Amino acid sequence: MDYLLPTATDVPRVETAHRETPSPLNPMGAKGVGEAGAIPTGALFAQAVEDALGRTGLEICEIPLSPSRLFELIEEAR
Amino acid sequence: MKPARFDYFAPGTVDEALALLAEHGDQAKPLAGGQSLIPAMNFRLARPQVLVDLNQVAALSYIRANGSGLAIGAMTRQRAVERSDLVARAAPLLAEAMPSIAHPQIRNRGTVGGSLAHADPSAELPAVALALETRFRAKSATGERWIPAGEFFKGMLETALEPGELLVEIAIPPLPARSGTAFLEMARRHGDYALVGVAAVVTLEANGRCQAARVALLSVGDGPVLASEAATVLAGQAPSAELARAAGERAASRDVDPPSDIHASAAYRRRLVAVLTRRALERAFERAEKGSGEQGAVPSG
Repeated sequence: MDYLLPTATDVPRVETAHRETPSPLNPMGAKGVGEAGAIPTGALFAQAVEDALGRTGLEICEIPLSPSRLFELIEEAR
Repeated sequence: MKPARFDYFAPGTVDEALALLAEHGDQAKPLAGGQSLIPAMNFRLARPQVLVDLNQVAALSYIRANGSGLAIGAMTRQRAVERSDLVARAAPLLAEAMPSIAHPQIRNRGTVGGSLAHADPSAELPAVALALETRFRAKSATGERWIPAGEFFKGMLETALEPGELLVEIAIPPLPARSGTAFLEMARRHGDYALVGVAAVVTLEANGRCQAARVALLSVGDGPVLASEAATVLAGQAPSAELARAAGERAASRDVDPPSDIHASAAYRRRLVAVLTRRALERAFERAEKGSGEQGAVPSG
């Protein structure tokens, strides 16, 4: 009740693009998948929010980024 | 979890229900739609020894014109209120607030009286009832009384209802001519508890100035909060964006002392009070100027 998990309805529209960087460490160039995709996601959202806010000098170094937390960060940066 | 043991009664009439409540006193809890009480019992936050289930009491479910106001039976489902043409005409503020109450599945079961008697400070109906100067009809085995909204809500999950008393009806008075209303709330996701919500009622003089305003806020204290300081800013003034802004700022600085919790800090809630009050007042003024309480399309945000 007090712990908000994103559900299917909270997922934004996702556009995927492919960039191939084969691993030199094995004959197939294969890499592990799974967790790798999850690690940068929060940071990417945070960077996008920083960018959207323009030159506030705001640096977001933590998630989750609730509306309340974002409000506090903007107030601090002022 | 499962609830603690309890005895269960399902009376068919109000009198039978009142007799059961009188017999069991503060050991008994009336069960309305069960959307708050049952989860609380399952978490064992509530352990009533006796449940008096009101769902068989058909006589408590109605929406009636009451002069040009409204009378709503305590067991009326929230979904029925949401879909009522009569409510849309006679109490557009109530109609506008209904979709913000949880989800349709919950509104199908949840009742008007249940939500009001539960008195959750983040619930929509108590704030709307306060803004509309609703009167609460409480019955017991020994008589009945009417309680004004300003005296009904006593604090966190607390009302003026005594053990043995049952909320049976609410009466919403008609709004004067040249009135406009608006309801707004901010929640993380639709259906979540609101971080802050506001129910605004304004009435204009013939010359267009604000004669009276009632602004009730939710999720900012132990119960619905009437923003009386904001109302003094509005009284006698000509509606404008600047006036709405000033009233919002006054509400945030003087009318509320919001809590911090894991959902929002006090400072953020205060900011929401200022912004939502301003937006609600602008909308209410616009509707009052258009007259007839016509709601029209509601712009988002």
